[in-house]
Amino acid sequence: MEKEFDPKIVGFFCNWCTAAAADLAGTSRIQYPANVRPIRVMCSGSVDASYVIKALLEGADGVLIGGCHPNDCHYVNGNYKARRRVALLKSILTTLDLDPDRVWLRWISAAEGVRFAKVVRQMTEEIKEKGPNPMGKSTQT
Amino acid sequence: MAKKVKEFERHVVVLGGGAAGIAAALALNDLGFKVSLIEKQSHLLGTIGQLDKQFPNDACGFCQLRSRVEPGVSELCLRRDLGAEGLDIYNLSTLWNVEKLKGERLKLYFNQEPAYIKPRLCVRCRKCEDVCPVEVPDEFNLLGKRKAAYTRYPMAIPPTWVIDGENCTRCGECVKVCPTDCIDLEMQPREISLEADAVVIATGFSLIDPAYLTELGVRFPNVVTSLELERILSDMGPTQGELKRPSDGSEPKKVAFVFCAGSRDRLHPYCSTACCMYGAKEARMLGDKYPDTELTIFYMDRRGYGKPYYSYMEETLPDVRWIPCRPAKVEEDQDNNLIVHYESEDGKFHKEEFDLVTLVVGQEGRADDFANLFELETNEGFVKIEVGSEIGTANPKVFAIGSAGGPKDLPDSITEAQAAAGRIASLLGIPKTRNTPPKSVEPFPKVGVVFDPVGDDDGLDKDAIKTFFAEKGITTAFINYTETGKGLSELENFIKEKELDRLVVAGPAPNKAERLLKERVQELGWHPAQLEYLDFREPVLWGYEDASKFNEAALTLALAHAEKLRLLSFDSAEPVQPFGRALIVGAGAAGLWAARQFADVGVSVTLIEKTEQPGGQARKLSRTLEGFEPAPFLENLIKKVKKSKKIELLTNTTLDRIEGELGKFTAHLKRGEKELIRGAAIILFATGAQEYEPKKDEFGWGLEGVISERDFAGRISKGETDDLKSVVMIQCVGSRNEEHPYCSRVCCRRALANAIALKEANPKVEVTIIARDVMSWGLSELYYLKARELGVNFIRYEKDNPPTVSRRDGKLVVSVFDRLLDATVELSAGSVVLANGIVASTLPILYNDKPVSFDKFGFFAEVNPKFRPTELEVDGMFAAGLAKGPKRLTESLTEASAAVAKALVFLRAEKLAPKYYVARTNTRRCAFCGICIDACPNSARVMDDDLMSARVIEAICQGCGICASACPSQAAHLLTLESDQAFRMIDVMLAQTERGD
Amino acid sequence: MVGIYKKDLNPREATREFFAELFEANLISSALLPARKAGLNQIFPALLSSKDSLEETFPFAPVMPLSTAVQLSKITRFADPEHTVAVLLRPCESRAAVELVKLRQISLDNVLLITRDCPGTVEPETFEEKASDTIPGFSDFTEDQIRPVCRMCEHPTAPVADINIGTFGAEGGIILEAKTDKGEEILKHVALDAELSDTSSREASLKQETEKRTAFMEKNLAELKKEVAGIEGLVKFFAKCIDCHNCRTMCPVCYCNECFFDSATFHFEGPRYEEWTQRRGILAMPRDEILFHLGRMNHIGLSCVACGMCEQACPHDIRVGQLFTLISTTAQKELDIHAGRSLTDPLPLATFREDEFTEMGEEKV
Repeated sequence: MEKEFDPKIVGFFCNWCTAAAADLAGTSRIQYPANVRPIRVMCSGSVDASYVIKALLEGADGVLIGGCHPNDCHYVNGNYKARRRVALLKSILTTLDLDPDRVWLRWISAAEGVRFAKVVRQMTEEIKEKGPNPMGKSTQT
Repeated sequence: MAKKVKEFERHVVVLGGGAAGIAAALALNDLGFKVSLIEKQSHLLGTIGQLDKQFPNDACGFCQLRSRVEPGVSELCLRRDLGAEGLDIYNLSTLWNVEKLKGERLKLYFNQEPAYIKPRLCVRCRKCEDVCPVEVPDEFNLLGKRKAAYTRYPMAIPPTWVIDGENCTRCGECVKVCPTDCIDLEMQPREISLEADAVVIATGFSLIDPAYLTELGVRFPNVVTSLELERILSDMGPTQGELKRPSDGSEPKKVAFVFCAGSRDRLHPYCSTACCMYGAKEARMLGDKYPDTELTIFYMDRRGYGKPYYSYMEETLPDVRWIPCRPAKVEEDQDNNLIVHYESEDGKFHKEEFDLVTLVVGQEGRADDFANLFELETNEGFVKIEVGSEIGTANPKVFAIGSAGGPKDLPDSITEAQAAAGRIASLLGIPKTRNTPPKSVEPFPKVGVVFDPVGDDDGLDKDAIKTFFAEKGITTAFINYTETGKGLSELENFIKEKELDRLVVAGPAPNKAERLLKERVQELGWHPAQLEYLDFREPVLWGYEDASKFNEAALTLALAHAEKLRLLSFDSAEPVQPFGRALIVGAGAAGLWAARQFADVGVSVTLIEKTEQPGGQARKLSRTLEGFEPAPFLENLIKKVKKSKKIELLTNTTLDRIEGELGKFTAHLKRGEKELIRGAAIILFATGAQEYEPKKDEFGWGLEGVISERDFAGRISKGETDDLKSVVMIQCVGSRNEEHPYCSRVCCRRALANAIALKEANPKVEVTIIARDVMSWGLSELYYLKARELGVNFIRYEKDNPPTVSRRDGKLVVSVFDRLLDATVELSAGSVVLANGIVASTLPILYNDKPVSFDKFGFFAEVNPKFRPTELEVDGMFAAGLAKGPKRLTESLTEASAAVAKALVFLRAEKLAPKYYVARTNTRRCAFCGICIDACPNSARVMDDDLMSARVIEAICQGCGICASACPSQAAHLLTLESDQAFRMIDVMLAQTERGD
Repeated sequence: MVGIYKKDLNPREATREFFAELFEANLISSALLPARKAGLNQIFPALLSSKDSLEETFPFAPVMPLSTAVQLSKITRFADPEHTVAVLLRPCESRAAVELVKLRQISLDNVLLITRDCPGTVEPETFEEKASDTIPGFSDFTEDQIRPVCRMCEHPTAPVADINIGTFGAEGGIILEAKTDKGEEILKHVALDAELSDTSSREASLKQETEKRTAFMEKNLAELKKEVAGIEGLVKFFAKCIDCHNCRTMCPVCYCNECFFDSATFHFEGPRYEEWTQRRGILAMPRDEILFHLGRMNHIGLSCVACGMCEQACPHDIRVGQLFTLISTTAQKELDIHAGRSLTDPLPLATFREDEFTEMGEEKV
């Protein structure tokens, strides 16, 4: 029997909000699928598009960028800048039919443990539906 | 001038660990004071912990209170941790005695209730809570239950569990499961005594218990308080953020808010200040999430009295029905729906059904419990504040901030907290910052990994993990309880034995653990960055629903971090020496007051004033509502400033332009034809504002007998109004309209002062105040009541139907539509007094050839309206007083003190030391394009023409890395996550799983 | 203060004469113009110190071996020239120059920016084949010979200039149009045959040209989009890529001193290759070439002016310029950012607008 597809999602979580929400969910025993491998970044605005592309090409089935809600950003407006960069990245992925829906940007505040768990669950499920990311399968990348 | 003091030598006790107390503690700690933060409850945060978002920007941003991010200072959300050197936290502690010591010092005695858990040993495993059989109402989430072994909220500060001794049955189940034997059910209360050089009272408020409001239906399940609604709407609340009514869990479609529930009544005659705004915020949050819900607000006055507040109400709540009355009665039908009885302004009675009613409850003072210990008086249950101040008490070393001194909103509380730090600095003096020597980190390290699963290692296959890392040349160890100190020596031995120079520690969520470990490795001579803390227990061991994935996560995440460390190396930068001078622009009350405080701590000041004499708008002010006389205060202040050797006062001087950066600003000044240049580490704008000049015929402006409120106050004080038989005052002249959509904040209070003075001088004079909403927030509501008692007549008008003023037969006539009478009435008046608002008068200011930005009203724009109220977009630039928006004189002074506190952080630095949480520029790679300059949210980057490269001012840089991701060539890069490290981490994260191990 | 004037001479002569007048009136001290390279049949930008060499210039030669914007950067980047330099740019070069001004790679302080309408260019090889003693003009080439990116270019005329030399709707002459006060002032010193009051025929001509190109673009890009769809399509599209990075070297808006994708981040340790090979079984070399192209799209997608210099520089004729046109026109439309439109537009990746993409990040769960 073929093993059930188990998505690998790379998470870039902002130190101030989303990383805190992950802890909050854990400490409150709000559980979520074990599919996200988090990298703590200082700000969602520091996530370079090439990191996301690298992850997708390296075999990530999804990339989740988590930041603070508007006006919440510790760095005043890093999340707004992240938003524009992700919009550009998604536009490019869409044009090239590289499935932009594998890249998620979500605002998850430090007080939103439930939302964190829900987002991870929803993303894991949607990526499961999609199946493995063909970008990572290609031996030519 | 203050004596020289050492870092953490002077001690300040802050009573109360809510938003204001935390803000004060952080501001004081930043200035080198040792701070003890005392909290009565089990954990800090007070009310702000229960509010996920606060007005006026519908966000949190609490973390922005932190002005520095560096190793040794916790770089986490302030809802989780506020650790820093010199900041001690005492929970469960109640003040019971205060003793006066020599030299105005105070000794404070506290009784600390037992937590029944030894905080040093608690590893936050929650096992005690899991087995605890006791359930009691949850004070935090309000509508649920909690255990007797608990934290007030998850990820609490302090992070350790406590046992509620009152409800604990001493069954001992928790003792059995505790892995570190930290529970002692026999623990006794502890007495703590602290000697303080100054005290900040930040005890906040109790929420008014609405139980007595039986007519508003408090006993019905679907009548909730505003705080309960706040929790219902919270993601981590009892319904996980879903709007469900308590009776049946259904989603209400029609919701009413009743403002002033428990405020402005017999028991609480004052206005609770914050409720109009937070009620509006809740309506907005609810409306945003459930756009189909019908929202109604019953209110008495719309007190949106701050710069952005009123427009917030107007702009953001377009679909809300505002009804200006207090409901007479709330009844319940058989389906638990609520029938609200109310009388509309035209005198008609209505009955209307709602699904949910929210009582927007106010603030109750707590000072009666302790004020006498400080020999302080109280006022309606709040600490009595000295006339002429917002935070000063009868004891010059004791300050009361936030709601301790009267009902307050969050932005004012934070300003006051920072102001207290400024006042204390000028009283006690501040130390110069210690310089940590620059330290570099060498490449080619030996890396080790330590797992600290805190006894919770069921899912981990230790042998497999060890073998896996051994294959990669990485030594591993399993060491338990490092955060209790128990495992620390074992960890140290591991480092020494294996001759490591990098270490990954995978342990519990980093609030206390990470800081403790970093301190320890620094003692070994490491740079804190050589230890990488991996947040492992909470998000993985507890968060993952599939335990079979623990091992894989341990391998992947720890290896990724080990690889990150292997690639770590950097040189330390040279420190920058700042100018030791502050420049203050504008010598009005705020500017003078700030100058004096800077001088008090030994900072040189250049204070410039464009007119001939200092004093600004304050020169024109008369006695305030509370009885403060501005004139002698100002005279004295000017005298002191002129006398000070530290202050260079330049009148007839304007600011031409500014160049440079924090620590190294150059200001080009103009004095007549002469150009002057001054270097300054920081710049404070206290440029004031102007009174609105009505257009001709606006409310009769220009007619004989029509006078501005301020001039009228002057005439009252000169006794020139004694002959008047009738006076009509018209409010909101040039405020809350299209042109100036904000409330000018001072005018209603001034109208009340004028009305009371008139009535007291001559009870027969007829005084009518025609206002849209009477903005007498907080304790000044008492003066509104007094004016009513004295027979002052109030008529409400709406913006679209304003009163008109004309002159007929030698008399002034005011016609106004009276909604109560449903008819236009005519009032004849000897004088018509117009409440002319405050408008911005800021002139364009050039900084590095670019204009400094203002807010949409033309005032200086703060970076964050709640938590950084005096800081501007450019680091090292501050604004205070009217330049930042309408405010009372005493509020301007408070803001000036707050700005002083924030500015002194930089002015006390002999050198602006290099940091680790910083971005850098690779000069060779830099194309000098400036993209990083625009990207930087902190103005920490400048174009260096000599280097032909962007340069980072490390003292400002907060290490967010936005520049690095904006820079296409990675010439801008981030020390804490370089691109090769990020790439390698991604690589590792995705590599391991395919092996199937 | 915008005037439109017409000069009745053929465009090449009229333009040479216009520059001669600028020299004569001492309005400029040098000029950067397309000129014949060493008497050969190639046209490259050259700096002229006087009107004497104008005979060697071919302002309308339909070939663009490189983007003059980059050369302008070299002249002005480190210090402004002491005297005014006039530069003649095509619309795509002008738009690239605008981007480079925003990125501080060009200073226009002492530059007189003159642009010209552009019907399109051919590859240098095609041009060389046609050229003999006489330098060919646009009409000497068939439509098929015009570079596809030019045929797709929606900017037959430049949005930013001091003075534009218009040929569309100029009935064989040129239309001089001052687009700034500086340009207006300059034109006062130039002999003009007539003032053009009615510009409708020029506008109609530009509209017609743009529509033609848009139609071609839509068709061409739709086909391309199908071809590159998915990772397989993309890999196939770049199959011949040798990772030489010529595309980035010739790109006028790839202004970095050293490309990130050439940096030490990509100098991997030996064991990494082993590791990757073990994991994948086969590791295509050179590594990260798709990452390079996708990364570059993110870096310059919002500044790309679709000049196609990348494609012209590709040794294996990968239609990289057309692909970049596809992604950049789409992205610029979606993000409401327009490369080369204005000198005062903010830098897109360093800035934001609060009111854009407001649903993003807030998605309900």
